[in-house]
Amino acid sequence: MASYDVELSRIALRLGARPKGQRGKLPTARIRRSISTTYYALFHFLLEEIGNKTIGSKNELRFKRRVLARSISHKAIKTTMEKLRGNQINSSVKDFFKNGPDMAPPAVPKFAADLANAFIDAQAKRNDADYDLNKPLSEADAKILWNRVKRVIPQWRAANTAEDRDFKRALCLLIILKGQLRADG
Amino acid sequence: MSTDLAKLKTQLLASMMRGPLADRISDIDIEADVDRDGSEFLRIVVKLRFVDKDYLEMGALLESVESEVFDMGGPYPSVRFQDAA
Repeated sequence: MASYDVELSRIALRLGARPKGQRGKLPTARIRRSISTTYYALFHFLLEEIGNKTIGSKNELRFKRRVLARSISHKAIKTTMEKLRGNQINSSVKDFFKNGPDMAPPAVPKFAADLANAFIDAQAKRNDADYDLNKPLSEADAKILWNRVKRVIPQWRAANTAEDRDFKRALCLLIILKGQLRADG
Repeated sequence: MSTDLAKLKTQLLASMMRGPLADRISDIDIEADVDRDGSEFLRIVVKLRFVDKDYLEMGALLESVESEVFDMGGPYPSVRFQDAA
């Protein structure tokens, strides 16, 4: 059985697909639902990853993973992903990615940087798609976003060196911490 | 919003006109906004003369704009493509 993010991705693709021979613009609702559903595919992929990396991936732990997923907000993921912009980890959280006090934090690996940028892009578009019909979104936007998410998820999955796994685990824990190591102020 | 939008527009347009999609780009609009979490961002709409469904090239352009805005220290950009009229 396909995972939930894969099901959502398939639905998003169908929403943005043009029936053979159809000309003219796609209905606005299909474009916007496709964008929103693509965002949710990425969101649910991350929820699953966070559960697998922090609770464990065994079947009998599914209930706990789902309880954890309910507590993770869209904002927490975005706040965390913003701290990976560029090739450097934001200084406020860089210690969390180090393996010792005298070690330099790693550069942001490409699989994580690409996923972070895709998430921020998807969330901004999803907000307009769902809440602001005055903001422009086109068929091209839906297709480009779907292609982007379709690319970054396998890239993340394929990253499996010990360093990659360390980075993913730290990132997933940081999301649970809402992207901050301590409260501001 | 501290970003100089006119300067950013000039720089981004100049970069796009050196890229592989130069022939189909007519203009860009940049609008500063605040998202639902209260973060500043830039909504950047690329206006096209025509769309030939080269979505991979367009996706590459989108990501290069994101990098360029980041390098300039601007808030995160949300890049969109407006359908040709």
